[in-house]
Amino acid sequence: MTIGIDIVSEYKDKGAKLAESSLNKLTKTTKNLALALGLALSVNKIVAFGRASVKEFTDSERAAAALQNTLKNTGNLMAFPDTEAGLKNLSKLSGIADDSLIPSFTQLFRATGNAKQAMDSLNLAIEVSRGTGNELNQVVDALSKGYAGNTRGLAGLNLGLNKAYLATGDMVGISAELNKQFSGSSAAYLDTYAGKIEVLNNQWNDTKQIVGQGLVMAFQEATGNRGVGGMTDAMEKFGYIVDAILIKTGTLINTLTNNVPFISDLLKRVVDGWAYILDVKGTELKIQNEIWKANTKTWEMAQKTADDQAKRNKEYLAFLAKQKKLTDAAALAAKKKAAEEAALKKAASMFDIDKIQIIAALQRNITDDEKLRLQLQMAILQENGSEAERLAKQLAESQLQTTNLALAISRIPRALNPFEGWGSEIDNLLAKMIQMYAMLQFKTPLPTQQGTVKAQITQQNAASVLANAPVALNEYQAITGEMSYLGVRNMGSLNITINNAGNVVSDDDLATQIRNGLLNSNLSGSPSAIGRLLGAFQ
Amino acid sequence: MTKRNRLKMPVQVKGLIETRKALKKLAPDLYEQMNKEIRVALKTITDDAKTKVQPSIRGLENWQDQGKPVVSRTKAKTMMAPNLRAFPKYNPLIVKKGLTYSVAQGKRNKAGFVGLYRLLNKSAVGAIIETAGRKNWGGDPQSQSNNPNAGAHFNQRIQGTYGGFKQIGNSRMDKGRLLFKSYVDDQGKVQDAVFAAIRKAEHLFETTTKNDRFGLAA
Repeated sequence: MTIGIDIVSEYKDKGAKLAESSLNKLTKTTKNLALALGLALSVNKIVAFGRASVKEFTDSERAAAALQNTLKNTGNLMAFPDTEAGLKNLSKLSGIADDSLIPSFTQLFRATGNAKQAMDSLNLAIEVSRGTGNELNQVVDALSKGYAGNTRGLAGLNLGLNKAYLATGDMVGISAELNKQFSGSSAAYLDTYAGKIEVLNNQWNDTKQIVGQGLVMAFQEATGNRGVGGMTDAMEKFGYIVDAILIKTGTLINTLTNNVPFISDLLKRVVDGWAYILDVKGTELKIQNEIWKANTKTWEMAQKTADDQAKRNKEYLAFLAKQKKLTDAAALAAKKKAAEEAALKKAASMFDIDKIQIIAALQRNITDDEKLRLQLQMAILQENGSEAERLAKQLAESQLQTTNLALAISRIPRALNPFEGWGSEIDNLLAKMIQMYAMLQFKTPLPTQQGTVKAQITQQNAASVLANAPVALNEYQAITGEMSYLGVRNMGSLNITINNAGNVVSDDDLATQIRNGLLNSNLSGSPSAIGRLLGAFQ
Repeated sequence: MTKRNRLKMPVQVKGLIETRKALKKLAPDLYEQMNKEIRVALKTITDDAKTKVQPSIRGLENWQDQGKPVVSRTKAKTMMAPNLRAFPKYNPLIVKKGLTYSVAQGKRNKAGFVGLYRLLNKSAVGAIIETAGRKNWGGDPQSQSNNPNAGAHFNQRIQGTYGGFKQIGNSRMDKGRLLFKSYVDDQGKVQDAVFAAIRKAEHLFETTTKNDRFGLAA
């Protein structure tokens, strides 16, 4: 895309001549037509003005009714006359039609819930709108959202406010900052040509609105009780009458201004005269009276609503007081019940087996980990959340440490077993000892340290054994001497008579008698000796 | 009346188009001299516009041309839009290069006018700087973007760096930030110079042909 400025250009009439001739023909025809339609067009102009005026009035009335309804619904109907007057004043000052201001005000009022604050915000919105070039409804929308806590709209307007500051949602501060930044923007704008034109346009609309109201009132008055149908007839007739008056007046003025030099003065007088004839002042007063009546009606309605509201407020306050009384009583009862429950719980805790067991367990010599577990269980039983959480954390840390220790231990390499292989060695040793023992069975017993050993005496080895055993030899000699003295070798058989011992016939009888005798002797305290080597009694 | 006949007769040039044609054919030196003077006059505007080109746009640093090829992020070219290209990056050199003028006859526009001496902002990025926000200051009202305020932000940043529009005619489209601004700042001096050059050439051409007719020329 190329942007260009033609410094010098020329109209190229190629193909335009035909169009020109056609246009000329059309113009000629149109002129005739225009002459014919002149009257109709002028009537249309007047009727259009009348329509526009009535429309302006009805639009304004509709907007005012919406505002009144909003204020009424929120219990602020008393503020309506002042608000309406304020908005009209603001409209005059800012050059913005009150039809536009009223919806904006209503929106801000819904957001703030306060007529004064809404009016201030509307002023601010106008300043911001004029200062930034944004549409008023955009600014109003952003501000009302801001009051609801959503400042994204304000950020979107690029007002130069810090995003973090906007995020705070502090509308008081934000409004103050915006006031500081954009104050006077509207006045500066209205100083411009465009601003002045806007003010004039607005004033023209207001004028149309007043005329519209006057027309409606006039037709109402003219038609009396014939309703809307009558009004339309009257309006039609009025249109024709005004048309005729204006056409005639125009012709008259044209003639006079062309021929009479002092016509300006005369015209003024004529206008004043018409004003007098038409009772413009009276009409103005009538319109004002109508407005006053409407306002009075509004005021009366507002007064009634305010009275109703006051009554409702009183009832509501009484209801609140009753509610408070009931709430206080309920709170007191709840407090009392809670105290009783606490006392019961305290008493019950004395018999709480679980707690007792835990307390008893805590008295014992236990590990830190176990102590933690018990304390945690206790805290859970006592429903002490914070303590339970703390102990659980501590226990988890402890377990983690323990787990880590176990893990570390599991990772230590396996130690060497010094007893590994001992089983087989001992088995071998024992086998050798058994073998040695078996071998020792076939060897001559070694003399003991005391010189006495037990030996198997046979006829063949008796001499050699006795020769090596002096003690045994002595005993042997003593025995053999005694035997020699008694003549045992030659005695053949020896008969021993034992008195009162019954019959001793066999060797067994003898052994029995001897045993009994020894037992008797022992029991009676008589000493007895046994020759160990020889196995004889002494 | 044919051109050959006009050669023999005193020439009363009426239209600029005819004047240029006549000059080009019959007095090429004069035509070239006239164009030279007009070029000098037009260059004052384009030079002034070039001085207005800023190295970067405050707040749109990511738009700055980093020398990387720009790929269109929109849909591929279609039959309906065969010349679809990526949104150009901001490059002050390209903007300056695009600020130029033309002494060639342009195309006839819808209204039937033909531009004979034109100031041009040829580059796409230059056109963006010139016109961004001219139609919709607050961005496209029918934008379906996830960030509908992007257009407004873009316009505001450009406005912040280049200042506001300056308007030539009554149409809202007859305004811009670079070439239009320079032209407005010039207060019509260039246009006067162009017309002066044309009149001078016309006068010289008339004098030359008159003298030629009466055999006074050298």
